[in-house]
Amino acid sequence: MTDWSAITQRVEGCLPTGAISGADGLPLDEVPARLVCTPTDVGQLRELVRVAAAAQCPIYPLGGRTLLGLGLPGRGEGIGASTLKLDRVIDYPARDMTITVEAGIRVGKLQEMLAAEGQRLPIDVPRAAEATLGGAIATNVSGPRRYGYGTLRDYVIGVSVVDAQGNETRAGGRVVKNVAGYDLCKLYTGSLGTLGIITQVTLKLRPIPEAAGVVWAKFDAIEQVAVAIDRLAASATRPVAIEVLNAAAAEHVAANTSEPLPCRPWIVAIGFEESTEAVRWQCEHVQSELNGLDVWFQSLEGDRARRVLASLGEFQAAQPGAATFKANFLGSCTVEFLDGAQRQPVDWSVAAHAGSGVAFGHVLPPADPEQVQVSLNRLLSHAAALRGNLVVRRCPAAWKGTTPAWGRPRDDMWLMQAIRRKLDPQHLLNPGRFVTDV
Amino acid sequence: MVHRLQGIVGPDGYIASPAELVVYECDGYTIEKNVPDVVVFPTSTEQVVAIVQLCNELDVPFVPRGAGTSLAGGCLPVGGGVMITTTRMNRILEINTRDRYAVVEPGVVNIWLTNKLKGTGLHYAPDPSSQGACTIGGNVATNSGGPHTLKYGVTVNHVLGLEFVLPDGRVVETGGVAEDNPGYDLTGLIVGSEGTFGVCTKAIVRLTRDPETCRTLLGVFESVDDATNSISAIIAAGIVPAALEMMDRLIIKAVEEAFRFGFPLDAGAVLLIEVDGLAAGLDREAERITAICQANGCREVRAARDAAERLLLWKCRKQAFGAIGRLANSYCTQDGVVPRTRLPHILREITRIGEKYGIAIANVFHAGDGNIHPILLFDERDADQTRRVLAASHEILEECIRCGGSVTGEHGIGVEKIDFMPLLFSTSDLATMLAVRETFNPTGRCSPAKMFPGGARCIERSSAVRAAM
Repeated sequence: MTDWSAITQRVEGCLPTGAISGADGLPLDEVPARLVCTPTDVGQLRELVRVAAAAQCPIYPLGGRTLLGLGLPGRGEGIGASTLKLDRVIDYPARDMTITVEAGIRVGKLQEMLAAEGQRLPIDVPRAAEATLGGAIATNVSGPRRYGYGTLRDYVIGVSVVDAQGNETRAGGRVVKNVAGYDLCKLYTGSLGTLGIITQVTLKLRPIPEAAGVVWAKFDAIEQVAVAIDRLAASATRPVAIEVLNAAAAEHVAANTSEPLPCRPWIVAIGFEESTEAVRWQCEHVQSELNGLDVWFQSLEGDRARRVLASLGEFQAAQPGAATFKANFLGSCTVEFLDGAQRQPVDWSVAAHAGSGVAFGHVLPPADPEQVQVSLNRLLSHAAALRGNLVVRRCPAAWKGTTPAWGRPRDDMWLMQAIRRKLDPQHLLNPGRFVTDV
Repeated sequence: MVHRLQGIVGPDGYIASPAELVVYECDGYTIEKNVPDVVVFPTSTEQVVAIVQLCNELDVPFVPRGAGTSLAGGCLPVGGGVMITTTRMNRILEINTRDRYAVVEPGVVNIWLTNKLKGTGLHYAPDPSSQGACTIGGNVATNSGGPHTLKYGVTVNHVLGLEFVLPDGRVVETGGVAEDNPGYDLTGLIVGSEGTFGVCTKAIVRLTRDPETCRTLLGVFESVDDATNSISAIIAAGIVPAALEMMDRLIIKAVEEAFRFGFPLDAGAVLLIEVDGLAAGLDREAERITAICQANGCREVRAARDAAERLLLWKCRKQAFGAIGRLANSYCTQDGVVPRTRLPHILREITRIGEKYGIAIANVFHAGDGNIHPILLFDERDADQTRRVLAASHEILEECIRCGGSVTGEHGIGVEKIDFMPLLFSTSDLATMLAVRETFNPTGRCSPAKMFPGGARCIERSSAVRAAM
């Protein structure tokens, strides 16, 4: 039995007053934290982890709490370790286009600071005002613009973590090109905090493009969408996002833009970000490339386009119903996947990054819980047949035994498990929650 | 052992005679040499597995090797043993232009893939200067860069998945043709592991759209200072050129003698700047760069007139190392990195250090990334010169670390830079990296004595090797 009064006493000894709170607001069936600790520096976090490790007490890392539904329910009551107070800017040499910050910084605040220098981290992080950078990295968040800019693994050039023994370890560095030592930044990105609690990050940055444009294309037939995205794959233009939306998804996206955009039955939203001349040329040219198809266009520029791009990026965080999935597959199979999603026993609101082969879907109410679970399993098989996989991003904890929370395990699972055992032999960091626990 | 290796790879699949083995005694880092006991040339994953299993059975170390073009001794066979050269696993297995990936064997030469893709509108973006010789397997091992990685990213940004033979002979596949498979990014971890995790036997690489067009500029500067200040100013202005390379006076002289481009021999430095993308807006970007160079004391900015002139410019840059032979008997190239704003400082330091040790140093490097390549010229037959080259190299790299940089941008730690690891990383950082290596390579049999100081030489050229041979 865990002696909570002893642990609490020792935790109080290493944290300042007010740094310990109850687990109010946490989904305890997913993250069974008895108390939440919010250290104000890395030294305190290290001490906290040491105390927990000595007591073999699970640790649940917490950031902005925007994606706690991801993963399986935690195994064993433990301590929530919040990084929200580790949010200092360590160094921002803007002329080098890099920044080093503590990982608890909110992504929105980070982007604001970067924007003041005309720079940004070009990753779509939904609910950025709440989401922390460390949380975004631990969950490897990405959105529609990954087609143009890649994902977090392409921008995290240095990282520090507090490991399961309470040591702070660092990998990478602060320069944009660096191959000294193993690139553990890659290992931590998407690790859901199971190999260490991310405490500090150095990012490579990009300039904010001068202009933005979106071509919102409405199609009546899914077959025409298929032709369109094949053409877009070979387009003379260079979209940063090619998003295919079914009607429900398009309506959700449009509602957040205050634009009277048509949404039925199929939308392809094509995003451009570059110089003013290049954006204008592309918005016109891409329409000419899709000529001959049964399609209706609306072209948006400037802030109107930026609002649409932002809304497309937020779609994955919508919660119309009880469950959300993220599927991956070959990009050329996007329409095939969407077609499959339309033929389910329940209705899904689906948006797909057609260039990257990634789709997010939310179940639409009302939906029979049993049918939703059946549908998730079918969609997994469907994605797997298209050489991909499917992860349930959010659903009631009670469903997690019967839905594919982490999709189908792959051949390299044993190696992932071996790495985790090596770095966290007591299995204290987010126990039970990750794909290696399936 | 040789007999049994012959059973695996056939009579033409190995080398064991001392005269032939000499070719494999080093890579582009020629200061340390050691011949392997035998070199094998497998042609399939199954053969690699059998070789690795045999090494385990007979307790012999092994080291994978591509074309041996890197500069840090990454494929030096420390302690001898078996060298597994992947150059005969050189098939391009699949090209999918719609989903923009290719599946290749590790021995495929980097430029073969891009050549094969001509006409498809796609290319393989990482373009090391040695791309005419280096293999994609070797690129995966060192996470190679190249001039155009400034905009397009290094090797790891273009690898989607791998097939790997682990040091115990097990085969593992990571990643895949679809992006974002759940779980740890083992592919990203393995890229750049310098052959210490096993032998890469297959790679799924991302293909990149060809840019519609490009503008290639040559900026001529009176001094290295003016050139490096321009580089910092271009980056600070939020411009991401496709490539931004610098050559100093010594290099200009060597490449001019070799290729007769028409470089001004009295210039202190030249910048080779390329911007690419859509035609719309590109001229304006080129004009902005020109204005920045002029504001930083540029003598003139010339634009390449046509594709032929552009190709010649790039030939000069990429084959600059080959032209060094005109300047000295031997050379040692360093691979440090500094924050880009620190380039003026590090170049001044390089000059000072060269003078201090009486060593001529030429500079040709990936300026936009802050990745310097000082080339220290010497005669390896002269022991004192060699000693001074090593001392000067160390001092340059230590200065890179002081600037907040790194000792290697694209060639790896290998054997050459092991002593710097404790300067870059804490004991705890190194312990974590070693724990990861132990997961893949618990006995240290694969690529012994690489990357990490101490403890790594657990397999010396032991009696076991002798007995097995």
